[in-house]
Amino acid sequence: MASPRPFPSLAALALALAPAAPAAVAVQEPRYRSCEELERALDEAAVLEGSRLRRLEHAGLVAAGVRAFEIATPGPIEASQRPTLLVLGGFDGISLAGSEAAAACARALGAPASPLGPEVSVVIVPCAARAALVRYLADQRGDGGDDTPVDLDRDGSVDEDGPEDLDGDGLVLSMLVEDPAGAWVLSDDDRFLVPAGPLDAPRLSLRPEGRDDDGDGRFNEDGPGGVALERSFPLERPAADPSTGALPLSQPAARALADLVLERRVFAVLSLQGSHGQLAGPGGTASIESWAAPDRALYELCVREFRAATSRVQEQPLSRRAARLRDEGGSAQDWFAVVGGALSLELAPWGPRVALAARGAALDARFVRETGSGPRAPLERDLRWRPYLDDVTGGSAFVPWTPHLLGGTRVRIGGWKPWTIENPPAADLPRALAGIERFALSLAEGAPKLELEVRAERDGRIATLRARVRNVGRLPTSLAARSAVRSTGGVTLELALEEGHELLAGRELDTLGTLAGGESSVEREWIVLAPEGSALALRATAPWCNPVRVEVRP
Amino acid sequence: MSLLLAALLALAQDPAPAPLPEEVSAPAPESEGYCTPRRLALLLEELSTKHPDLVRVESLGRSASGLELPVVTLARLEGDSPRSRPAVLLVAAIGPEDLFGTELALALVRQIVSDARREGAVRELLGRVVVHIVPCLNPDLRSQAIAALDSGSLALAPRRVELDCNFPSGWDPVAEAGAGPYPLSEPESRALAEFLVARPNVSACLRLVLPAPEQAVAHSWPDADVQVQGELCGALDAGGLERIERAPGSFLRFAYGERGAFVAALQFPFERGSPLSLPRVSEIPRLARGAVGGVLHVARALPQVELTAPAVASLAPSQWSVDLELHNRGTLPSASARAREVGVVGAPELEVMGARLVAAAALSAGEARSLPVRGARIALPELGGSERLGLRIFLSADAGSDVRIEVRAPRAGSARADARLE
Repeated sequence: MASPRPFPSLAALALALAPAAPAAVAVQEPRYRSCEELERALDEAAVLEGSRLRRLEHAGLVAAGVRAFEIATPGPIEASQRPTLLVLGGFDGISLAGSEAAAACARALGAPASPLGPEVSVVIVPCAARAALVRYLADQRGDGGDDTPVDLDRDGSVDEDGPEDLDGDGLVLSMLVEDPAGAWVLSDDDRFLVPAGPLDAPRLSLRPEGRDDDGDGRFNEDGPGGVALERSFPLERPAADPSTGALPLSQPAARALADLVLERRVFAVLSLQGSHGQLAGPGGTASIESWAAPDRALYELCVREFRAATSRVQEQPLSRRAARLRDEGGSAQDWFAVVGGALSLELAPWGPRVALAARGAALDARFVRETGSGPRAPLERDLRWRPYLDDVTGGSAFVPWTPHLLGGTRVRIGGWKPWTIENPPAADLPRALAGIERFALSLAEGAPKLELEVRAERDGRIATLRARVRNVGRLPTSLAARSAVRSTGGVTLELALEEGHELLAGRELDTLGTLAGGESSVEREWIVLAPEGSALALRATAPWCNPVRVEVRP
Repeated sequence: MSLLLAALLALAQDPAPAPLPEEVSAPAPESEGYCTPRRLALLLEELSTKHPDLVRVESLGRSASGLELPVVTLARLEGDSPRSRPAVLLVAAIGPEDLFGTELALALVRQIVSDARREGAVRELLGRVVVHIVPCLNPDLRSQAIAALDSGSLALAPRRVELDCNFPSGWDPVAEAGAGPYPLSEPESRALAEFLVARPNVSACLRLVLPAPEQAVAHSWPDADVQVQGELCGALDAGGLERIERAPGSFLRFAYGERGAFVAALQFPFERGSPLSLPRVSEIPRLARGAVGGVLHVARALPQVELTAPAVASLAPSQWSVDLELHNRGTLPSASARAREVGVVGAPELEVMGARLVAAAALSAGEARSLPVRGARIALPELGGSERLGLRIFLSADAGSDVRIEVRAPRAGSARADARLE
């Protein structure tokens, strides 16, 4: 892969986005807005003079109740035909910060002074898992499921045993139940759990707070909550998990988004969700992680741009499973890459490092923290969040496990408070969102762009053409990783022969492979028998690019 | 005649050999003896009109080009809803390799109806279980094939998405060009999957296929299912788990992998009547007899719960124990291990009406083991093929009360027993 062109200077981007800066800080009074409020704000921005933002009236999305916005600078190519960046906010049904970030991107990129060029379009869905996000905001918690009734424990009843606030503290937290078959024990730091080993005791089951409403001996195993759209996609979807749907893409909203990606020339999908604070490429499972390996250079480029735009620290590209510290089959992110053929990235607005930087640590100089090693050391995820808990919130983000007797069963109630690790406290939203719209712009502006360099000579009726294709964008013309259901991922170069033309040498249709950002193809040559004075035309196409056509009259 | 066909014929002849009905030995004429989708629809309609107590024809949906996708339900349609009875689903003509399935499916529908009219055993079977048959899942391909036969051009245009690669389990877009952009992207595969999901009572799914060489393939399906599948497919000389392991995204893999249904690919060797996978018209009756044998064998093997007459004993004033036996009369278990793994069916359940259920125990080798009770219901363990389970339930009610005990298993039907507490 050739070296990509240098990333535009941050200063230039900052200047370009200056008018949109208030949008980036759309959270002037930091608070979480409902999906309705976010979308209304964007509708209002869309009617401002010069705005490039508009509602996207896509039949499938509208029918599924998905509200999307399109940003397109006026130009000769119809917006729906252009290479498209798709930005999804809160598709996991949890990340309200992701929805806020998507709305901020829409306002910044759609502003009248946006530097977005006329060759790309951006589609933004601020609340991609709307029902789940509405529920999360109302309950201050959630599992990402929509409002489809699902029999989570497969007992023939639906939503019959949900969580409650048992101790009357106004919060529904977590609950540890002493259980000989439990999977957990307390770690050395007794706020956190680790998987139980063979001789560990007491063993604990981790459940949401609440009583056993249906009297089956299990606690809160089937509360409200339905299908998690972002995990209902077909690649390695765990069929045994009812929250991934009875069938893959069973929910109309998920299917409508999948169809949108198939219909349009979507070169990148940016999913704003998660709580790891980093940029992650596809690879929710080991096999998809391996599949994505040929594109490592592309993900390295993205990480560089991510660092530059957000000032966050990330050295190396990460797969989704590496960022989330767990495997997850059935993710939309993986499907967008493998089947959609798009550069599919997950950017988590909130995460442990972002949280630390948000308010700065106030560490007592005398405090010595356990190193976090040994057989019962907390899990990596807890270790990452512990400095925020201790040094930033002074421990107040976590309610210590407190014993309760629940109808003869000993339980402990406690855990992370709302607005701590899944979504930032509202006051920290501006910090969590900072720079994300710059990164989105850098992706949109970096879209690959084909140019054709053609030389032609003629001797009587014999014309000789030589041509090469150059990608003048920063991103490559397609992913290097291939899948059987997608047609060729490379650049194609076609000689358009007209009546009276005869090809004497060369291929009418040639495939040139993927071109990296800034890369030129090898030169191709054709010899054509053509009437004197007639024109010859060449056309180059690539999955992520607008086609280009050059006509010469040698 | 091959050993395989001989075996299937033998199965078809249980309990007593029956002469083939006229209809089977002379398939309805159609250009060259094969059925167009339209002709198929007319013949099925005729059957359901003639035998409304046994045959119901519905539509799964429509194909990509808008043709109906018929599904035939064979069952005695009086009494319990067919959805509460154990069921088997046969799907024919999914792709170019099993085009012949439509002729066989149509012939076997006719044969089973005819048998049910003549034989008490088949009629009794259709009162207990349900046989669903999709005679042609791919009518667009069939139309094309019949047109190709008529025109003498025998090349079929490849379909962009192969239906039998377009189901969820093992769906592989990286390796299979015909997998489609997502599973069930095609109206035919989606309609069939939704039909199956809506019928948790389907315990077994079948296809009609050409023989394929056996190959040992490593897989990690549950041992209990491997054994049951081995016995089922061994009796039919059919392909089972190894075959579906080699077919990612196939219907049978979906049926087992995501729905936990037992599967069998019934194999039919024949001399092709054309380069398409169609047998000579004269061969269809012989092949159909084998298909009937396979389907009826599986229908008889379906799990089905039965209860013996209860024995009541008084323990104290208004306190009773009731002993009874639960039996699975089928050779297939009440649910596969895979169905339990993926949680698509709940456990069998016993409900008591007319008395307060206090406690319950399973009786095994002289030992009583308590069973979990929820209100008036007892959660029961799954039953293996032909397994018997002794039950003792403890009730509280006035002397002389009439009690009804009902067992329901999602894939093994239901059974009732009545008792008077005295």
